[in-house]
Amino acid sequence: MSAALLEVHNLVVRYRARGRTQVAVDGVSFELGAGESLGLVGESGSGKSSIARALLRLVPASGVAQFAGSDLLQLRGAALRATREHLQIIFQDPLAALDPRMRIAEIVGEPLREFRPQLPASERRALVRSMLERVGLDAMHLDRYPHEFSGGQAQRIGIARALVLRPRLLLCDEPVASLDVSITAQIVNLLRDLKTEFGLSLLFIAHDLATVRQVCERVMVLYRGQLMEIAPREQLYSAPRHPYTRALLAAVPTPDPAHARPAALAVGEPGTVATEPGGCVFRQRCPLAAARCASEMPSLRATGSGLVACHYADP
Amino acid sequence: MACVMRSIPMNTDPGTATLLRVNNLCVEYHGVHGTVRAVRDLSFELRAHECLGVVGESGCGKTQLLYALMGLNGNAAQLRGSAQYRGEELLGAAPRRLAALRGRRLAMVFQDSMGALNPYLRIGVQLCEGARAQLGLTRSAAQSRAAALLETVQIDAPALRLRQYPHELSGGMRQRVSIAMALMCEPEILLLDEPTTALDVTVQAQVLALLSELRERTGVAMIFVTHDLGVLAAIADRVAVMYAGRMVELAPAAQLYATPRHPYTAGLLHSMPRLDAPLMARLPAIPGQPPLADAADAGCAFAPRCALVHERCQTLPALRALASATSNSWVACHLTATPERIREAWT
Repeated sequence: MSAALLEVHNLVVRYRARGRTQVAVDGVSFELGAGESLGLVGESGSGKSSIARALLRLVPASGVAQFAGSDLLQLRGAALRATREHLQIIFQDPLAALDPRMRIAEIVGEPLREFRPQLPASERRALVRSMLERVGLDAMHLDRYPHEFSGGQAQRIGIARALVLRPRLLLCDEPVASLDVSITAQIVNLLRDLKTEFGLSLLFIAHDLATVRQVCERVMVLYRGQLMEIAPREQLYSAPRHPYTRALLAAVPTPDPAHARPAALAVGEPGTVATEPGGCVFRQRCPLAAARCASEMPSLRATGSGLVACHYADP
Repeated sequence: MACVMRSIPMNTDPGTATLLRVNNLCVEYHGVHGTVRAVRDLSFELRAHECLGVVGESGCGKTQLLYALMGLNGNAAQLRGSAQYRGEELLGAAPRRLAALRGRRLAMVFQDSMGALNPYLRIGVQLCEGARAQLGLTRSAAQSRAAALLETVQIDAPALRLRQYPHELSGGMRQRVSIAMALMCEPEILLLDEPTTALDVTVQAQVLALLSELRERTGVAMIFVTHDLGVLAAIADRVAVMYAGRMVELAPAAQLYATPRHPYTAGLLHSMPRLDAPLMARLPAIPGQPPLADAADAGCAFAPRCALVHERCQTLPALRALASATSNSWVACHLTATPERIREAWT
């Protein structure tokens, strides 16, 4: 693997509301190499989006997140602002992510105006134009407003805005979940192309395992804020170790009636089973659960070329 | 614009009754910015006990079709054509008659279960309301029926759940409650509008298994609307593909997935990332985007995105029966290319 661009150690995100504390991310550690794409999968409430928000400092978090020589979680003021140039995000709802009162040229040009204020307006406009063309939008769209675009086009605008500063890391928070089937493939291909072209690292959050396989070289599986398994794509999809990973993969419907129906391996639902602290967070839904799972929290151990947090997973 | 009469996909199997017969259905909305033609000249039949899948992208008219069957389009909608339930016309039926059919003969499950349930009323009240009105059940009879149905949809502690409010249940559980509610009056037809789209993939698998089991147990017929061809493969007997308000292909599921005959169906199937196929460097994406719902019928709506576009595509293709032994499949495409040729065009 190439040298790590991002090193996250023991990331914890807690939300407090009405005196109650909810732990959304519970001690997650991982590395992301330069030019690498890492997938984050898990059910709703697994902490996927909280990790992205914590890295962007949109929610308070503890732990360490080393990015290009500094700890993202400790930065303040001007230093924090400066990292935003290298760390950008695209969102699930692309239309909600664009200011409805700004024209496309202003939306995509805003990062340049903020971070390259000395750039003449004409050059800025030329950069915006070429970026829009690169993501597949016509220059005639420059003076239009977001409501004039479809979801797929709006996501292209979001990508153009995120990449116009040439960041090193792009966080993708469910970027295709709200797009139509025929548009999803276009955006997935575009992200793959841009990653290669710009040497981008991607942290790609999605609940759709088939899309993640298409985009990501490594995949980490989260459940209730904890890392269940992290492995290279080949291993995770062909020989998943953790029972939760297996349940997720078995539940994906296959567009082929001759194929077995999606299997409901994991009983219950995320977030509905009360878990007493101490054991494995997945144990109530796990087909392999035994007495040890209730008493002892499994720590991450090496399996093949990945890591898995399960007492009973195959090595 | 008048809807043109065309040949209709007819029930060719004499062994099963036809529950629904939809002929040249059009749903339009006339607004200040022009006319939105949500459903265009749609014809199909639903047989007893079958699950008809309807697949298409946002704006293709799939939900509007269900609304038309239930009489839910609202006053702004103009409906034309015909939709008959066991020979009885649903379009323009008297509100009292529609109310008598809803829930009792045709029942609907919505995508957003939180939006479909009243947040101020206990689950039990909502489950029983329809059954008491439609079947004249007493409160206690309706309650025990509701409890039994909650058990059928695999909700534990039904007596407790009946006293709870919608927000106290998880998304998957709420969708199970919606399904139980739709089943309260033992309808003959379940209309399912993206019933698993808002659910996690693990919960989706649970709900799909439940729906399959309900079909086997009760024989309820279904129209299952979704954008996900993967989901339909698990449950549908036949699949109708919609594009820009029209049906472009209708075929038995096995045939549609193995040998799609409309370039749009083939394009959708090939562009989906899937776990059961080798990893491709690039997905064979369909270029462009779907037309707007107010677009005129200037030829085939898919032509601007089609890999096999041809001069003839400037005229609107009629839905035609495919010459095959069973003659159960229909396609709206001028092209007579083989499935192999269509596959090559996309990959």
